[in-house]
Amino acid sequence: MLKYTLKRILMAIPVILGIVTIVFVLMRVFSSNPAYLLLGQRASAERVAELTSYLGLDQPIWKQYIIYLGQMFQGDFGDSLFSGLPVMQEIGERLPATIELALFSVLIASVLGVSLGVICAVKQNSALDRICQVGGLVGVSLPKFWLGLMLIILFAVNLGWLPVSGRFDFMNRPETITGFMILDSIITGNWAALGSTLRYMLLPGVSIAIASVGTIMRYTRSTMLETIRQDYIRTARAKGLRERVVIIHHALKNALIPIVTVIGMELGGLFSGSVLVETIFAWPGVGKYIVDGINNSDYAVVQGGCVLVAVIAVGMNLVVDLLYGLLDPRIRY
Amino acid sequence: MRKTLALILAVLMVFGLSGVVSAEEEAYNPDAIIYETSTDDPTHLDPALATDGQSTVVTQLLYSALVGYNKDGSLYMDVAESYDVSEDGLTYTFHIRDGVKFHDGTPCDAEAIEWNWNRVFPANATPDMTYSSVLFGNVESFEATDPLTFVVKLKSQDSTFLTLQGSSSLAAGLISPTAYEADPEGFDRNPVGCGPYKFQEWQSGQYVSLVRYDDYHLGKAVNGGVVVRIIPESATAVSEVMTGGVDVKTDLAADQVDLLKGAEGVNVITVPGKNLSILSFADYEKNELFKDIRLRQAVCYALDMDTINKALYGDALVSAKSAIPVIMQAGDWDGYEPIGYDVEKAKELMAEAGYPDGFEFTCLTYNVAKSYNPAGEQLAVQLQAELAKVGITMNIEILPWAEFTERMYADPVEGYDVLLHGWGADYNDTSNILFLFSDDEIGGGANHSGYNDPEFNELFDAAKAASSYEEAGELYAQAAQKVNEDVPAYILGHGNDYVATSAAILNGDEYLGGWGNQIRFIKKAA
Repeated sequence: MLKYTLKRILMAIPVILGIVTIVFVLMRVFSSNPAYLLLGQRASAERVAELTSYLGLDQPIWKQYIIYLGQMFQGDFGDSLFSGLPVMQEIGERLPATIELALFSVLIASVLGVSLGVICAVKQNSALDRICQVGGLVGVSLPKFWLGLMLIILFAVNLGWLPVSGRFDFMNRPETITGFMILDSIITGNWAALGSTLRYMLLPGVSIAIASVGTIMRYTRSTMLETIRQDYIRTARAKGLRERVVIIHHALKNALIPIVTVIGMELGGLFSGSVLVETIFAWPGVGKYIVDGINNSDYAVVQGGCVLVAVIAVGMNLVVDLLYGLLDPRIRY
Repeated sequence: MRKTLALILAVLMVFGLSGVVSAEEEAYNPDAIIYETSTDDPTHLDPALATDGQSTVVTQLLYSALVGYNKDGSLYMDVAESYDVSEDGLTYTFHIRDGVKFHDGTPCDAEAIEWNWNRVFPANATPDMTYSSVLFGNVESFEATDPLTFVVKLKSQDSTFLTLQGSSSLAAGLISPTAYEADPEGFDRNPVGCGPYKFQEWQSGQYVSLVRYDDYHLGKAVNGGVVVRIIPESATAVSEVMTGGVDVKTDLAADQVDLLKGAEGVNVITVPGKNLSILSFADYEKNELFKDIRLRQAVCYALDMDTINKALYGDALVSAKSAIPVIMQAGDWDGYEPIGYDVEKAKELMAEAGYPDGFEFTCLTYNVAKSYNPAGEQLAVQLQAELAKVGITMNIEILPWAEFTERMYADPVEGYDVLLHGWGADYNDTSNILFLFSDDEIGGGANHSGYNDPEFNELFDAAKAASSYEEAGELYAQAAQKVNEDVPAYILGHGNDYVATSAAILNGDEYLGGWGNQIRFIKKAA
């Protein structure tokens, strides 16, 4: 398995290199000169030219590319043109917020999605099944930004139960150790902060989870329907096993492979940030950071961000493949 | 009996009054934190590099300069206690307040000021110090003659010089030389000034927090500190104001004003804006159509700006009499004769110019809401509809802000005939509005219409070099009227500034909005 993992990691290198090259060329050819934004509206042509040269952006693209690759192989992904800080440092500051929210929402989505999917499959064509089918479709179709705003209006503004936006209460926050607020609250034993952090996470978490619940539920239902018609399920029932054992231990375990794939893909997407939800809930994650980078023509940010997204996609694929081995004894690497 | 009654009454009054005072004292919490909001992280906290709103919302609280702005734009003496001007108007001698200290405890004296000016002086400035030449371009030399005296010599008489030195949020803001020299690279993330608040923490994408600086030379702030929360989505920020998660929100969009006015406890403060929305005939002398003033006038006469402004913004945009916003020097002059709405006149002018059936041109614009145009690209669409009524076809090219800025400043003009843009003044001097028509800004600068009129140039230069504020005002007014007559551009309106405060803020009306930043006077309920 180690050999397989190493092989997969090595195979990822040309993929990432390809992405870096494509993004590098696209940004230089199609985006506007960041010097205009950096200088503000008092920019004169002369100052723009001066700054462009100061930033090294007047060099030929191939020369800039070689310099960038050289730095990248030394672990330096460049500095943001706007803040002047190393891109990896800025991404590192934001990544815990994104990962925490992604895990939280995928946890909600997986528990709800898999449970509802199993119930729907077992009670196929019942009223509950139909309601869940329609509900799932609505969940997948709802725009996240709209849902987020509605949740804010209902639960924060009208009912006043939950905070509107942000990641924590200024008066009640744990000491930063790992950057993961839940973990930091537990490590420092600050239970009030843990409660408050979860309250802040609930609305953005649910906004993201609703769509994933629909997807996971529909996948679970269809693979479960396929599985419960298999011979070995009939055999299990014939042996006189209780229905609960048949469904959970025999059917669900075998149906899990495609479900794990879907959950893995959902999680991979969320690890690179959910831009709309981050924007609406002022959640300090990487998604909005990368999109701002694109809008500002902040080359290093976009390149660093794309490398991150690529690494996450490749990494999640690998994790999902390795999980197959755990779920299905027939798969061995 | 009478005496007893009087005594009882007196006792009751004393207790009654003390009851009132203590209720007020109780209501106000001197250590409360004021939560402000901004749409994005600051780009820079070093005042020499700051150019945008999300940076200056923080830098204006961290730094002081020689002088500062009151809410109405008038100047107050800040780090300088007083100043003298030589008879020829070329030498300013600033007397520095004794005992002013930076947040790190080092003295902010004439020597520190000289060090600061050296850093941002055009000859030494790096290309990213945008405001260096704006603020110090007319300075010949400067020197700290003793620890409390700072002498500045100008190249020429300049009525804007003193006002410019109030831009504490920009390059005029004074930073601690000791802190900067200890870590020049890190200063932008760990700034040290001598303003009413000192830097505490900057969490990217979340907030910048500042705490009260107790040794502030003009008396410590009445609240405990300011946290600028980064909330990119304005609908979320509005919800925060309604629930008390944000105390002060500036730059409200027009449609949010009505919503917030109806919300319980929320106060919306309206201040006339210091900006203009403008339709420039791009480099019109070289444009086949618009080199003819009759066609420029026809476009203006065809636009019913009162109706458009009302429909798009409600009361948020005020139709213009001239390029100068009414709250700025010379903005309220009675002699302005703006081009009004007159369809017949438009048609007549088009016929005279040889285009009785109309003509076609392209307008370049942007797709974001701005204080001078909260409706973004919708404004261009409305103008297009109005012009169509007289047979003029206006094609619109809408670009994201970054690309728009690049195209707008590109010289020569390519692919468009008119530019729909705007400008918000950086400081309270009318030169910062009328420079949009100055010959210094032609060709890649801010004068996008390429207007080069000798009479305007003379009036503008004379106003800048005037010996008094009043004299400058009269000259600026005449220059602005010349723009109305020559039509290098059409002034569409001036946007109001709206500030919303949460129910906890006790005295917002008095101090918020307008020029300068008066947050240090803001009281918040316990």
